[in-house]
Amino acid sequence: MRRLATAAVAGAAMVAASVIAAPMAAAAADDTGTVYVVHGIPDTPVDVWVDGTLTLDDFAPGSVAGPLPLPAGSYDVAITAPDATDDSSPLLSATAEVASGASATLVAHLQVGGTPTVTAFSNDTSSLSAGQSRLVVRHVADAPAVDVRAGGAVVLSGVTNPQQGALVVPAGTVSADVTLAGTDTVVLGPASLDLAAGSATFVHAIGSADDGTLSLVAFTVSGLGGTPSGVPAGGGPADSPLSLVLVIGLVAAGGAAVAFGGRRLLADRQP
Amino acid sequence: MVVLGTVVVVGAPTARWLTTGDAAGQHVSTVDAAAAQALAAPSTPPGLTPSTTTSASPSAPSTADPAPSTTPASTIAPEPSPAPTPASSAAPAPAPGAPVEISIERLRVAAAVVPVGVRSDGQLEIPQDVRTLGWYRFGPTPGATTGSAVVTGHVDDARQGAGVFARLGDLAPGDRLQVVDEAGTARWFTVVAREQWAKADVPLDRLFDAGGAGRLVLVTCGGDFDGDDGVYQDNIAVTAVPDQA
Repeated sequence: MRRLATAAVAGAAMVAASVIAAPMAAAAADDTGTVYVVHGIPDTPVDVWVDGTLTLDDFAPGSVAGPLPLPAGSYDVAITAPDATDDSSPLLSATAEVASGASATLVAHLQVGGTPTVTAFSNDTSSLSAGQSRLVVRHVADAPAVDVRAGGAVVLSGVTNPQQGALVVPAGTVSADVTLAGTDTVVLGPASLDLAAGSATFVHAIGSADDGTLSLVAFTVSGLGGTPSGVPAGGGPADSPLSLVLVIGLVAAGGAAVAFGGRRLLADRQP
Repeated sequence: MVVLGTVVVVGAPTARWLTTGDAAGQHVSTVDAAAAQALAAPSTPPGLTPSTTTSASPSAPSTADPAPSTTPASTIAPEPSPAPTPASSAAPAPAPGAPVEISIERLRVAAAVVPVGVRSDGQLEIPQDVRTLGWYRFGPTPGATTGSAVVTGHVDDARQGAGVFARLGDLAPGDRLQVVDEAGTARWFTVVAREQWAKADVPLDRLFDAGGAGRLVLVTCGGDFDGDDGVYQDNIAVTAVPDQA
């Protein structure tokens, strides 16, 4: 509550968060976008209002709401104290542009230095090859630049608040952690991530390093996977080429034997 | 010598026909394809979920959602509790586990099942051993309430001979089969459709459908063997639905 209250007093909490996700071609027939909301500010639940309507009541820190389907358009998003009766005195506010067919995330989080803000991210929900999974990591914590390691290897380096990094990996379970950029100093994790085929996992590093409140919050979008390109379920009839050659050879030899033997028979019968 | 020659001339092709006749790909008629099609999910562009879920807290995971969908907003805490912790609220029925054995009385076969994935060329991985079946581990599980679970096996192999699914095309609507999962739970399925297509025409999106009704699809090769390319020209698939518990 402390940080949000401070921001409200400062009166500088107006944020323009434009969700300018490129609409996907396949979604042209539908004019609805999808929005997730992540609460990345420690310690206090909030209410979230969309165009004056209470949409998320007592939204807890470290949690995710969504997917919220919203008709394409512009929305006023206000974040208030949980006991507010309307959105007239928001702690944070933002304008969200929801594009048709797009998926986006609004994250309420701390900037480096501890000032709360709202950042909009476009969710990459493009399709994946069969057996692949997408991992997206977002740095939305009051913390310096970090590296993200999976299975002990750095997969994203030098990520700063409020950046995101993405990679596509074979599906499976990986152990991931977050270190100070360029060092082995672990600030988060390790966490075991179950990266399912055909899904995108969006992981948010939230909280404050100085306050010891760093944590991860994640959500998953599934149904993005492709299918195998074929079913090659046959190795061929038993010994097919070889046995055919053998058969042809035997038939030829047998034919020759019949012909030769027949002539011998006829010759033997000559008086 | 005449007798010997005649025996060879007649015997060699006969022997080959007798030994390899069963191993070649089947040619079967498609039966009740509409029934299989009806089980598939209507095509939806990815990323669009007509969902009304607005839960503001970590919610219970749903294991077999139709595509595309969203699963839990799970909080991942740093150590000492590093793993995602989905809320363990009421789990209705025990979800089916990975299949380990399938038996099909009509074909007089019972075979072990192993998980398979995707080859580097993007095609479905098939167990090398023709006596073993493969379950596509990136898709639904046999017995799941949603989606098409795929189990595959070689029709045959040049060295190993006929495979478990050599006579898959003999199955017809009404035939039954049993799947045992890793927990030892047996589930019965009843065949509702049998289909054969040239490989270029195989409805892969339907076979590997993550949505639609829960069903089991057994798939192998069929049709003529193209010796030049070393591949069969067709696929045969049998669709079965789980018996009501």
